[in-house]
Amino acid sequence: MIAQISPPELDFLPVAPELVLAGGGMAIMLAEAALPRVTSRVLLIASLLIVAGAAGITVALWGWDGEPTVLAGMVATDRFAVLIRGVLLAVAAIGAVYGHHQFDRAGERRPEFFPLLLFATTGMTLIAAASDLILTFLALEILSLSLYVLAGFSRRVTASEASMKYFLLGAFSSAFFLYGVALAYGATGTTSIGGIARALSGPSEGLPLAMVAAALLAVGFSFKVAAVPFHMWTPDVYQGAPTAVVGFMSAATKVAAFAALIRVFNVAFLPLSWDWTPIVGVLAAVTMVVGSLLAIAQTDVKRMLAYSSIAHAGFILTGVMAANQEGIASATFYLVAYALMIVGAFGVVLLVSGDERTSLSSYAGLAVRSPLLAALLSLFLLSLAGIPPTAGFMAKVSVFRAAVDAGHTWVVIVAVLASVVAAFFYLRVIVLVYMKEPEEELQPDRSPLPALTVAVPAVATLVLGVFPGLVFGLLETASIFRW
Amino acid sequence: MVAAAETAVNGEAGTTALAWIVTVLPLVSFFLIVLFGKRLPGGGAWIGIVAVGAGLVMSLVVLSHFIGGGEATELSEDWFRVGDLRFELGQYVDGLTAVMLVVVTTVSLCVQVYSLGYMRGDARFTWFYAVISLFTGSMLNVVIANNLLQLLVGWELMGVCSYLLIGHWWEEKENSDSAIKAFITTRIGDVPFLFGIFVLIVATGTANIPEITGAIGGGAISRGLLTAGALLLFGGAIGKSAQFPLHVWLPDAMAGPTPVSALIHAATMVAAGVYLVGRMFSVFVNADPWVLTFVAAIGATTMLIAALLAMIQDDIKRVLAYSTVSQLAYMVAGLSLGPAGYTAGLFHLFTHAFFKALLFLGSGSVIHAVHSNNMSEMGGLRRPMPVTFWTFLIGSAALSGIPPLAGFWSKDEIISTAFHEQHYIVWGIALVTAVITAFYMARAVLLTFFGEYRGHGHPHESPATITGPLVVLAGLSVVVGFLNATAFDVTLFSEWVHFGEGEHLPFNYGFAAISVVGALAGIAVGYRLYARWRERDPLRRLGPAYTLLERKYFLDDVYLRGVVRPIQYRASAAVNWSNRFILDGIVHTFAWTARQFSRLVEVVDRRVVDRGVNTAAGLTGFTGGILRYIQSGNVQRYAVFLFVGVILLAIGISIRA
Repeated sequence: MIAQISPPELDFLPVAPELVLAGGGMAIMLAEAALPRVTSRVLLIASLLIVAGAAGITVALWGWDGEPTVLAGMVATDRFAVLIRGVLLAVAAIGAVYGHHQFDRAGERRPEFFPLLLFATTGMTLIAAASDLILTFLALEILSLSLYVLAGFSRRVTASEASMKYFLLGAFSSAFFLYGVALAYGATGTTSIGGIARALSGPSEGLPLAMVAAALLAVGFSFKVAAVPFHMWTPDVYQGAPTAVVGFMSAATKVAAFAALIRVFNVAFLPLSWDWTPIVGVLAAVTMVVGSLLAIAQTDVKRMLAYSSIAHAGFILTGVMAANQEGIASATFYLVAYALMIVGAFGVVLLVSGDERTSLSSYAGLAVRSPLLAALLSLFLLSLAGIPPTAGFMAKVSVFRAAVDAGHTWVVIVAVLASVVAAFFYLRVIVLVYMKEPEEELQPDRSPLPALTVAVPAVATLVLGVFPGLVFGLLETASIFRW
Repeated sequence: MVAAAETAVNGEAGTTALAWIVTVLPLVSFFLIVLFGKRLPGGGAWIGIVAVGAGLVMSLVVLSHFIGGGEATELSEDWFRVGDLRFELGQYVDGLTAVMLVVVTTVSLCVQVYSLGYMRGDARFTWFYAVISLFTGSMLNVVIANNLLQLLVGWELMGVCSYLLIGHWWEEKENSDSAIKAFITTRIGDVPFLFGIFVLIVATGTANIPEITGAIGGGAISRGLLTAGALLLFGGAIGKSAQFPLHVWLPDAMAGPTPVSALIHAATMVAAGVYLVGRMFSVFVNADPWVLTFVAAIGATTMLIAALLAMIQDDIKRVLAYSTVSQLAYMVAGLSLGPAGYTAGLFHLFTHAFFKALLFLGSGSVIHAVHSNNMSEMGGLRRPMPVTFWTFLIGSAALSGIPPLAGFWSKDEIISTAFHEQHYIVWGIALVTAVITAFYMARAVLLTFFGEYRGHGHPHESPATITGPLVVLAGLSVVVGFLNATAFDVTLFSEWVHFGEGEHLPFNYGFAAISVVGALAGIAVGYRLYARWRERDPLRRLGPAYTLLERKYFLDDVYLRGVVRPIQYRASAAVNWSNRFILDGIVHTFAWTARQFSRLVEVVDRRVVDRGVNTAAGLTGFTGGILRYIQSGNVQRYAVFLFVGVILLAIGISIRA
């Protein structure tokens, strides 16, 4: 008997952004090898063009009206994937400028930075669109491997340490993730996210097994989004890795991993939502509380932002646990807001501290030295603290409201308390910046290009704080998964 | 907000549609001043003044809608939607809103004109005007918001602005500490407020204020939820309106420039808490009755302890600050009397705004002249500063409840309503507090303006930009009380601001007489004690006879040492002490505990692990830089934590399964 194997119809347009990114990354790598004299500025412009090309295709994909999934059900074409891709590409462009600036200024020649950044972005955009756990895992590894290298991208010993830690723990968590994929297959007979959902919504034998699978996948995601107790790597890596890289990875990794998490839990495991919401709720609560409390004790700005990013993972999880369209929309909005403010905050850190002088005390009197950077930093901190009229406030309010509406009041109580605690330490930095005399001679970097780059998320943070409808309007359709 | 997309909900919006423009104007001026202020002549101050001036005119137009008995109107449109959840941006304008619009814009206008003189030459003049504009806009947003989330935006923004303004002169560490204290203390109150909002959303399914009120009126909401909601909302009001036990921030907020104090204490910020209670009054009325009793208890307690504290302050702004706390407590107590006290409480909010702004600006004028806040370094200023003196006197008399000034009408209404509603304890405390109020204001006036000048230099009257607003506010302090002068059957204010049927008590001359006599008694005692303080009388040469006369046959000493001083100082000192040590202690302990706890977690998180690792590294010898860092063992520990997490998750699942 000859099995009739019909090759799947191949429609590459929905993965064209990834093809452009990966192809562009390889082209830059080859070009750099062939032309060793090419300057970092040229590579930056090339990378930005590649990102812009990918973004152009992404925008075009918004109007996609073909199949909900392509490439044998591997890639989703829904607007959620499009929106997340857009955010990731914006962050990647900002990250490229940061990296160029940091290495150029330090006089280091790091042409590999750009291809690695593009590969990481490829993995991230792919994971946002992955509608099969195999592809999710693949994309997770693509982005992780690039980030491991990027994290160690400095002559400083701490960077190598950060990179090594990130790699070892990342490998460890990947194992859990892969095991989760295997168990999901065992429970449902498929790795397709839509297929799992179909299998679980019918009468099924494998429910406990599916729950275990969900838990193991949650471990893998929790590691990437830095949810407690899988957060241990975050402060060390954020502190050790080059600031430009941290700016990129803190924003983009969280967005990408959360996008995948939201898709997996709100599609594949939605039939089990009654079982997993309390667990995610506990995870969210613990993450918010531990992140906020630990941030208070920090004396290093990068560590403080690391704990802050941990706490924010908890707030986003609060939206995820609502497990309905409001929850998805508000969590996604939160992701957008978070990406803007954290990439901006690290941009200011890059300009003020570089890699070395990251002690909080060196921020005393920043307002005197550089009023612009001080104002930008304060804006990002206010947004991180969730104070109007910033995107951070709207994000918190909508996440809280979605969770309350879904009946998870207790998590919101914890969240509100945690956000008050958090206000303490953000405020402390603003006080340092504006209300203290400078202790040491600190010369903030006055280069115009990165300052301009930081201004972009700043303006966006304000605009989304006043007109959140700009993103929520998109989310009316972008928070619906098609599978 | 796009005007074209708005829809009137109940009643034709008519002129009330201007309300949101009033709110947007200062916000626009904030951006204009920030962006262009420094390049403009006058540092951009005129933008703020013109914006709020135009706002005042429009507010009066809005108010005119209600003079003929206009209905409440609502305009609203979707701000954004999250799935099925609607977030609105809109305005709800009733008489209370209209009145508050007028109050806020009037006081803000006076403060901004005044600051032209007061803040001249300040290093951050433009920034100051920008933040004042934002502050005003935020308060106006609280006032017009038709839903609780929009109200929260203004509420929080005010917190940030107050922090910026109180810390305006941050070069002195004390000031930045005060700013932080104000921000953190009010934020502690924001926690219950936020919970309260969510409780109401859960209870009624909406954040829209008229809809919430309607749902409650429909009687479908469980009383338990309403009780929780009312208590939580009141928690927010306690923080913002500086009621016991969260009143600690307000006196310290004096660290800001005086115009800021006037704005915070009169029309914005502290008024927001009382306004919130008034706006959400149906929640309070329909909750369990003990909620209003609790509100009354807080009001009565705050009223008295703050007034006692005001008696012993030397810093003139602190006298006024404690006085504000005490007067806000009158408003809270008035509202706690239920629907009957609704108009009275909010009328006091209205009148108090004018004369307290006047008093603060007047004290600022004095401070400007003598370069000190301390009354012990003032004295005799009525001659060099006649305008300041007379206007301050009018403000003090209004605050003391002397007819026919504004404070008399509103305070008397609260006191007589308390009696009429048989809240005799509130009534008694309110009366006693009225006496003390008159006493400490008399003391302040006497120490500042009478006697000999005890400070340095030669004080002069302030420029017209400073005295002009004083005169305007003094005039208003005289007349605004007549809006609800029940003695003359004028009840305009109760027609605008009432709850339910809005019945109001007929004017009772007996009660009025008691109040006035109480106030006069307070002033008399103040006069006896302070009129001749620190004066060196030439009749001293008469020796023992003079001493006898001076001591007024030693009777005053008996009063003073035996009665007044012990009571005054012990009581005040006790309250002061508990204030300083107990309440501040609680706040500090809270902060300290949080910090220690986080340190502890930090130790577990990092240090313990690190230390173990470093010892191990030491034992294995000096394997050198990179190896020691990379193979530190830290990672293994981290992996252990990760694994523990997995196990916990597994336990969690098995519990669920």
